[in-house]
Amino acid sequence: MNPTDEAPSKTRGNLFSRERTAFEWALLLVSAGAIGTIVIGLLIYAGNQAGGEAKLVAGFARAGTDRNGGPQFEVTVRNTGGSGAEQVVTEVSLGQDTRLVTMLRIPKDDEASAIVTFPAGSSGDPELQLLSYNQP
Amino acid sequence: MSAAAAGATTPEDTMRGIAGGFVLGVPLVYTQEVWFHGGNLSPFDILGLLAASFLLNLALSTVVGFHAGRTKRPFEDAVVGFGLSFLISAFLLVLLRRVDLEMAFGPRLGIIALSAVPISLGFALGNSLAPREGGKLEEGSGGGFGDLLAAAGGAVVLVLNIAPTEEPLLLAAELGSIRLIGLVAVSLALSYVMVFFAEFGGKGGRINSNHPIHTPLVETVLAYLVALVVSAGLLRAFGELPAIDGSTLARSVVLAFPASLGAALGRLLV
Repeated sequence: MNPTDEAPSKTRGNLFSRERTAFEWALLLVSAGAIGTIVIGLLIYAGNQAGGEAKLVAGFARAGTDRNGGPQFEVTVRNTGGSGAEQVVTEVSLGQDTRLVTMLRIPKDDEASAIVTFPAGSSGDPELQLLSYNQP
Repeated sequence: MSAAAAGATTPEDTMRGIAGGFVLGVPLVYTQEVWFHGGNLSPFDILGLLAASFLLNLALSTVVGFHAGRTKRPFEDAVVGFGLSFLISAFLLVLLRRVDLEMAFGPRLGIIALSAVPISLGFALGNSLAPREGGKLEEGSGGGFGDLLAAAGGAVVLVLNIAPTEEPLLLAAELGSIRLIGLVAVSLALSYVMVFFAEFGGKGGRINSNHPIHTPLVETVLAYLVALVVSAGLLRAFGELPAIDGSTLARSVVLAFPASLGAALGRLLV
């Protein structure tokens, strides 16, 4: 037998009363704590989960101008629903100009943002419209 | 020797499991579908997956495990492997900025739990990751330079399916310099620990070798540089390094993390 190989424990199966080193106790306690945190956390999450479909809230804010003087806007879409959304398409209009923004994925309880740039000289009241999205 | 010390789990055993967890888990952590589904799957689905994974861990701990020569404590080993896998998963995801304090609590837990599944399986297979008696490479067949060739081979094998994907580019774009430096440090530390601490085998031969490359520090740094060059080469081959600039280095460093694990594994196998 290799000197580093150990004989089978004589206390096989005796999970709670087995003699352990301090290192083994530390490993076991840290591991059990991590498992407990994840499992209890997921159970609490399941209990509090809103459930149902994705609920998207879109907003925008002026984000300055590009190097050519074109106005820029930051579009933010937040998903407050109970499931994720994919292929989220929004349309930003500024006067006669429009820009489509496609966000690939927005998990639930998360948000995504993107910057859109209009040509220099574009003017008017900016408008934002949520056009479509898919639920995976 | 006390009863507790006989057959006790050692830090070296634990590092074998952790190394196995990183090798099997990192490719999945570099997958954006995991980031998405981890945050969107029902908590009950994730708990079901965790339960099934724990049973698989229990089975693997019965026949392999991370402690050489001991498969008589499968439940305790499975608990340790499973629990530490959550911590490794959380560490990796924070390092790669896939979870942070701004995220909601539930999705954060979901991503950590989902990423921990392959890590835990790697943990339970840690003992069989490399031959216990060490590699078979002889001095005449390349010595230290043969090790670096093996490092390059291992790096290619582990990252060939990651390099053509979007994930290295996404991560490189989102990680700041502090995290990139952290990634380099973790790559070097894991590489060192896998080859010179975890007792996979062949450690004594390396340390006692007169070859200049077999100095632990030199070999670790050289192997990392090999992983970095392999990563840059693969990214270049797949058209992901169009210019030489800061993003080139960032993308290479991001891919060099799994590549350095492959490089360490390659050196253990020769």
